[in-house]
Order: sequence, then C-alpha cells, then structure tokens
Amino acid sequence: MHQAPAINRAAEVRLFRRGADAIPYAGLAALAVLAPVYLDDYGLAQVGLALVYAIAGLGVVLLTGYAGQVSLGHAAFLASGAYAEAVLLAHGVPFVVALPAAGALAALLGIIVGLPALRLSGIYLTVATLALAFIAEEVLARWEPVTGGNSGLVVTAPTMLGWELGDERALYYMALALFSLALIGSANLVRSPLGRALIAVRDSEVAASALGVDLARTKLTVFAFSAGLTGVAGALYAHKIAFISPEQFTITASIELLLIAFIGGPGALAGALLGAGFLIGVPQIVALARPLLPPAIATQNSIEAAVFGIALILFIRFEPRGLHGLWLRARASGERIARRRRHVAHGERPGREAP
Amino acid sequence: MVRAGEPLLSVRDLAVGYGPTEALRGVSLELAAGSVIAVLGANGAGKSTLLRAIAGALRPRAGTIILAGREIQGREPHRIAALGVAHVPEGREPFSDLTVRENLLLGAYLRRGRAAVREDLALVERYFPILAERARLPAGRLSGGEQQMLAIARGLMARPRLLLLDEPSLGLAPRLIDQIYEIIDRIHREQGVGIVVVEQSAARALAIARYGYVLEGGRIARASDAAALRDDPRLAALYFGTMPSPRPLGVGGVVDSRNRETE
Repeated sequence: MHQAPAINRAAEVRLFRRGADAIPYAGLAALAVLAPVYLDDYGLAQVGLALVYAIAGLGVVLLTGYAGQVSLGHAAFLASGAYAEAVLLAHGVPFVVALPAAGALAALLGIIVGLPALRLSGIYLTVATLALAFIAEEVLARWEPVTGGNSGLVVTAPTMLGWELGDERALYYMALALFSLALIGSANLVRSPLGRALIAVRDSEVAASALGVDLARTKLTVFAFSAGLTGVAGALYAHKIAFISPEQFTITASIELLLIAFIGGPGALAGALLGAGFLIGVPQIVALARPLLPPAIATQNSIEAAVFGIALILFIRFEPRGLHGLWLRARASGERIARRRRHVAHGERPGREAP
Repeated sequence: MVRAGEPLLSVRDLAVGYGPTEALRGVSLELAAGSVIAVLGANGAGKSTLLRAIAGALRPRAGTIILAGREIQGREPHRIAALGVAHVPEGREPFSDLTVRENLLLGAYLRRGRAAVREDLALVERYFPILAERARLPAGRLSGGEQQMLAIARGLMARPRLLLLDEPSLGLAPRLIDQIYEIIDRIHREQGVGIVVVEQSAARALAIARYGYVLEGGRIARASDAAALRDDPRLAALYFGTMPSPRPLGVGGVVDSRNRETE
C-alpha cells in the first residue's frame, strides 16, 4: 500500500507557491525554446528524445507514483502509439489526426486491459500488464500485413499545413510543445479532485472507497490517461527514429519507463523530465567517458545498464524521491544558507523568516 | 427521506464470514434517525466486521441491511457512501501525504457545490480547531489524537446521515478520549446525524448512546438501554476495563490496555 514515496503535496496545490518559484521554470522554458541556437542537430535530437520519453514518463509517474499501480506493459502502449502513427500516415491520414488517434488507441487498449485487471488490487494489474507486454511483442512480430513483422515499418515524416516537419528542429519543437501540453494537463489532473482521489486510493483503498471514491473507475481513468500519454510518446518516438520494429518495444522498454519514474522521482511530475534526461544522458556520458576508463571496463558493452542498476539501488536506498528529491534537498539547503546570510547581514535573530 | 417512525438503519439476521470462519451470525439491530447506538464487545467479537459490512467493504453472506427503507447489503462501498453513510474505519486511515485540508476536501469527494463544502469545512474546523491550525501539514505528521479527529471530520465532510465510528478511543490517552467523545456528542446533537459507535472500552460510548448492543463471538449477546448497560455490574467486569465509575483524576488515569500511543 505504502510503497510509493512521500509527495510534497503542499507545494503542488497551487502551481507555484510564490511568484518567485516561477522564475526558474521561466528560465528553463526559455532555455528549451532557444535550444536550437546553442545545440547542434545531434544534441537537439537527444534532448528531443528525452522530451518524448518524458511524456511517457509523466504517464508512469501518474500511474505509479500518484495512484500506486505498477505496470510492466507500457511498452505495448508505446508500440500501439508508434504503429498506429506509422500505419495511419502510410494510409494518407493527416498528421494532425493521426497523432491524437495514436494516443486514443493506446488509451483504449489501456481500458481494455485495465477493465478486468483493475477490479483486482495490487499485483494483479502488474501481472496482467506483463502478459500484455508479451502478447504485444508477439502481435507486432506476427501481424505482418499491418506491422511488417520483424522487418519493421518505415515511418513517413509528418506534415502539417503543407510543411514537412521531419527535420530535427521541427521534431524537437513538436516534442517540446507536446511535453508542455502533457505537463500542464497532468499538473491540472493532480490538483483536481480526481488527483486527490488517486493519492487517496494509493494511501488507503478502504478509506478512499468509504468516502465515495469508485476504486475501479478511478484506477481505470488514470490507467487510460497514462496509456494515452505513452501512446502519444510512441507516435513521436516513431518519427524520431523514422523506423520501427518489434525489438524496440520489448519488456526492456517497459522497464526503462519505470526507471524514468523511479530515478527521476515518482512523487513529482518534474521527476518524469529528470528521469528521461538521465535515461538519455547516461549513454552519452558513458560514450564520452569510455576513452578515459581502464580498458578492462571500457570494452564492456553494458556499462549503461550497470549505471542504471546502481543508480536505482542507490536512489531506493538513500533518496526514494529520486533526482527530484535531490533537487528539493539542494534547494532547501540553498534557502537555509541564503537566510542565514540575510540574518547575519541585518543582524536579525536567526531561525525564522521575516514576513 | 426517512419516514416518521421508520428507523434510519435496520440490520436483520446479518451473517458475515471470512473464508470458513464465521465472524457474524444472526445479528440484528436498529438505529432511529438522529440517534446514537453503541456496539460493544471484546477484541474479535465482530464489531469492526459489522461496520465494514454496513459500509459495503465486506459482502454479507446472509441477512439484510436497510438504510432509510432501502436495502443496501452487498453494494459497493462508494455507492453506499453516496447514500449518506460515512465510515470512519479502525486505524483512522489518514491519507498521509495529503495535507489535512486536502484530506477534509476528499471527505466531500461526492459533493458538488463549492459554497456548501466551504461552509462545512468551516463547520468541522469549528468542532476541531486543531485541524484548522494544521491545515497545511501532511496528515501523516499529525499525532494519533489529531488523526482520529481528522478521520471523524473527514467523514463529516460528506454530510452523512449515518456516521459509523470504529473505536474512536483506540490508543488514545483518557483526556483525549474525553475530548473526542464530547465533540462526537455535540456533533450528534447539533447536526442530527445518526451514529453507530463501536467500542471495546465502553464507558464513554454508553455515555452518549441511547441504546447499546453487546457482541460476543459474532452474536448479539445483549441489547438494552444504554443506561441499563451502564449500571450492569457483570458487563462492567467483562469489558469495561476502562470504566471509570469514579472518574480518575489527573495523571495516572486508566489507559486502554492496547494503547499504542498516548497522544
């Protein structure tokens, strides 16, 4: 029941507690918008991919961190979004229709899977989603007329209003825009009565249902929302990679999505972005560091996996709030230092902030 | 609506079991609208099971539960909550990561109309001023007594006509129990809510109840006016370990033997 870590809810009731809190976010937004100015195409592609993963990460944070449900089948939602996008575009469906349709299809799949599984509690959903992951893998490989089987599908570049949006810069802005939308939507969901109900269900199903929360419906709603976000991420992923095949959507992809939530911080929406950055950033850093490492280690090809594993263990042991928790700690100690300085400067009694 | 003379709650021949074990058998009781009844009994007598069955958290094997003329047995808990039943479960079950205020707002989860909800928020914070002071604190940081108050207040936020209280005194110091029972009594008198209170330590429950039932091994062993139960020496010997006939004064009062925390 209580496997999910604490959430700093007080800070989330309002989007920003103080006006000043919005400043770092405004700075981050400006950095993101101006990224093409200071990043080359490769860097832009990596940041864009992180944003795509962050969209799915938001879905996983909502489902796992907020509602306390664990899915091992999110690769299937990623795949259904990606394949729906590729197939619809190949059949001449315009991009502006195909993208929402890809998300909707994944959400629908989520409802179909969740409907029986969510009536049961805890581990049953996880097992059912595990089954979904294996079935999806099989379907992708065998349903050749539609999916192209193991030889995969080439994804045509998206066009909107006659503009082709296939280059890195366009894809980056698309990912940025959709991530922003998903973040705003998720933030509003979390602050709504449904958002409180999610946390209530996680903390105590008995008490939540005694207050009138329909457990099955609440869980199904967040599961479908989570699947839908992952589907949209899948569609964008298809465009980023431009070629999709079954081996991109194995259980490993599901676990990577969970990794995003648990390393980034399952209790906060920001954790999705931090976790996605970690997932995309680690292989880059490993590639840069490889020449500096002793040859016995540098020749290993699973350094990334080891880093993820060690990071996961360390976070679970020492900071279950993930990277977001580290950021909260850093901010708190920064504020303490700033306060102390101010007090010393004004000769005030330390300990309490002036109004 | 409850018609004149009709009980708010009527339980008839209720049987509830967990697997092969039978937790309740042939239990019948009645609660008049706006009244208070106490259900007493030792640990494991089936008191919590009874409340859970009424609230829908357990499905009865047999029998009927009638709320204001409507059969509700076997319905899902959220549907029973929607009919005006607020179950304050054993162990209080606070939503630890949510603030006190958010916990209270969840109590009004099924209600529309923000103005009325705000009014009720003010009302329950009048009953429990500490909850207003702690409004922005995560519920997990409250003391045991404060969590009990929060659980009752959260139940009240649903504007129930029937409040089911599961051992509100559990693990609390006597002074705090007195305070909580005083407030429960006030809520009952001022809001006209029907209350079923389940207790192991019975003195305080009987002090506010009109009628009392004693459960023994899943059956009703006695049913009588609260006043008669209060004066019954046999019952006092059996269950009322904490019955402070001459009320203990100051420090060193009798504490529930299952005391988990004192304040």
